[in-house]
Amino acid sequence: MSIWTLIRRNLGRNRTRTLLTTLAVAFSIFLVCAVMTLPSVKTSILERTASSLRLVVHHKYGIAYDNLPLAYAQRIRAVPHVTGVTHLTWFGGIYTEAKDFFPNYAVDSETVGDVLREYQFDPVTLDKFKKTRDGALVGVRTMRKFGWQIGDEVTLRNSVWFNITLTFKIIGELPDVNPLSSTLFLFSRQYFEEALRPYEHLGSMGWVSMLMVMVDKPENLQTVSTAVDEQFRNSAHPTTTETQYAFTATYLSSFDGIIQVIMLVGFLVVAAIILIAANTAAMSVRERVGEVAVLKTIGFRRRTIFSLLLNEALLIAGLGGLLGAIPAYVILNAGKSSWSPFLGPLTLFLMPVSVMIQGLFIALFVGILAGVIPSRGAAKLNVAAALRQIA
Amino acid sequence: MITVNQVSRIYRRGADEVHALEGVNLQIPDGIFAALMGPSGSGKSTLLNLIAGLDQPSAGNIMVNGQNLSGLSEDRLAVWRAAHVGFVFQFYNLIPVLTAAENVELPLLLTRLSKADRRKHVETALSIVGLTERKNHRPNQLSGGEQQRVAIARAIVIDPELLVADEPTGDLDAKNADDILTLLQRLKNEFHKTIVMVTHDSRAERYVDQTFYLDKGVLVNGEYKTLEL
Repeated sequence: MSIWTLIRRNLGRNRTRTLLTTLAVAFSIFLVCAVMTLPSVKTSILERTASSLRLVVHHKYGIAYDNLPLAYAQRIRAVPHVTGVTHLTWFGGIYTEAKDFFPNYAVDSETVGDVLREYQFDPVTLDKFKKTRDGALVGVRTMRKFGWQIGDEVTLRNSVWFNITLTFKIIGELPDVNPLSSTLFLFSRQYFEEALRPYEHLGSMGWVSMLMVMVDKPENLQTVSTAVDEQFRNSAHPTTTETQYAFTATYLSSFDGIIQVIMLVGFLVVAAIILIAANTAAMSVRERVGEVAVLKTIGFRRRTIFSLLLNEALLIAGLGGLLGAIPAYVILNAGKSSWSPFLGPLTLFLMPVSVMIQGLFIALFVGILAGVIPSRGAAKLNVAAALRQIA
Repeated sequence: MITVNQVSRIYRRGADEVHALEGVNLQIPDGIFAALMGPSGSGKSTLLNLIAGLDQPSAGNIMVNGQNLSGLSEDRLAVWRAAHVGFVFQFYNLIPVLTAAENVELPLLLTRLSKADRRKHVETALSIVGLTERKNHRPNQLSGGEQQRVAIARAIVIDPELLVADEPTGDLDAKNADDILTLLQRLKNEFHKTIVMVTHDSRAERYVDQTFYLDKGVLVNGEYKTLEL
């Protein structure tokens, strides 16, 4: 027999209580791991969407503030070190219900393949896209979500552009190279402008949401960025030009507040679990005052009693940590699996190993905090007084 | 030799003071089976705890086999107890999640003995108390008398010079009580243990060599019977 025999047997003394406490720790660690994955979602999106040679040009006061004139594209092409320019216009179309949203844009079919190179447009498909007036290129996840096939006709209605409704023919898939490409719906700007023509008198024509600019070398990114903004600084539609990475980061930063709130809630849950586990540990020690007195009588010193009881708390917390962190890692990495097309935005939740390890350390921290006070109290127990209690 | 020299013990309860012992003097030679007797609240258990190194006197000093217990730190007392004292309690106080053998082995976890040596010591102790065949039973599978014998085995497994017993027969029927007292007497006679026992049991006087009577914290009388050699 060893001290660990005593620790293990004590944990089995009230199996229901041990099990419930372990599961409480496990659930809280699972939640904490999910919450701690949130910041890495942002990093993951940024890493997978950034192109080192591309700039995004949008209205100075924000992409949602106003559009930019289509004519800017030609002027930007003339800026030194610019190798390509394309434009995207937000359509905001809805297929069935608003909750089944996916991003859909009108694009310049002639230039989109040159600028959005990482989307790996198939040359044959791209050529067909250029030639098909009502053609649409759709991301693989969106295709799977709605069960669409190449050749299907899809109708999108929108409330952004005069409530126009457009019907498209799907002529190709966008591969799953990043979370954005796999959900996009792209169609020809020409088709879009034809639909807007009845509203031309309302100034509907010739506007784009943003332009994308390819630069020849990374060291020229800043030069081009400055040159573009300077060109339109005093116009009715001034611009802000930033790298793709900075643009995406700015967009994602709007979620920082809610991420922080969610993380705070997650850690409050951990704090609640610490209190529950501490109460469990305290109850367990109170029930064993007599045994602690006997152990001290036999000659077990304070630090041995302290470590005996603290190790019980650590064992529960450690086991709970494993039961929480490992399933969290498996489930929150399901996005990498073949199931990923069916998981929607959950595929962005890819939990790093570091978060799993942090979760395990948090579990041990819970064990220490929960166990240290009752263990210390038991270790400092006055033996003679305790023996009088149990006599 | 146990020497108690002008020992007092005062407990403070808020503003009140309880004089559990006052100016107690006694000596218990080696190899003697001594009983501490008296009415409830007379200070018997308090004196026993002081002799066993579980508590410190408020005044006076206690020497056990040349070791002055007074003024030792709690950790030093624990180390001393682990090597020199075995305890037997009224309600056995066995660990319910351990078997009889594992309960007996507990004090040996504080030694440097190997697992094999510990096992030998446990088997020896259990054979002395006559419970070898029950070594794998848990306390709830043993009778009261058997549990107390396991407790005695736990007390003697480290081969201490001193055994202290606080009402060891208090929770037993007459037959089991006699068996336990007989066992304690055997430990004194065959293994030369010094035994100090707190008891209300009048039968105990037949088994002990020395009886000390306490009343209201004061030693009233200490009778020493002539040893029958």
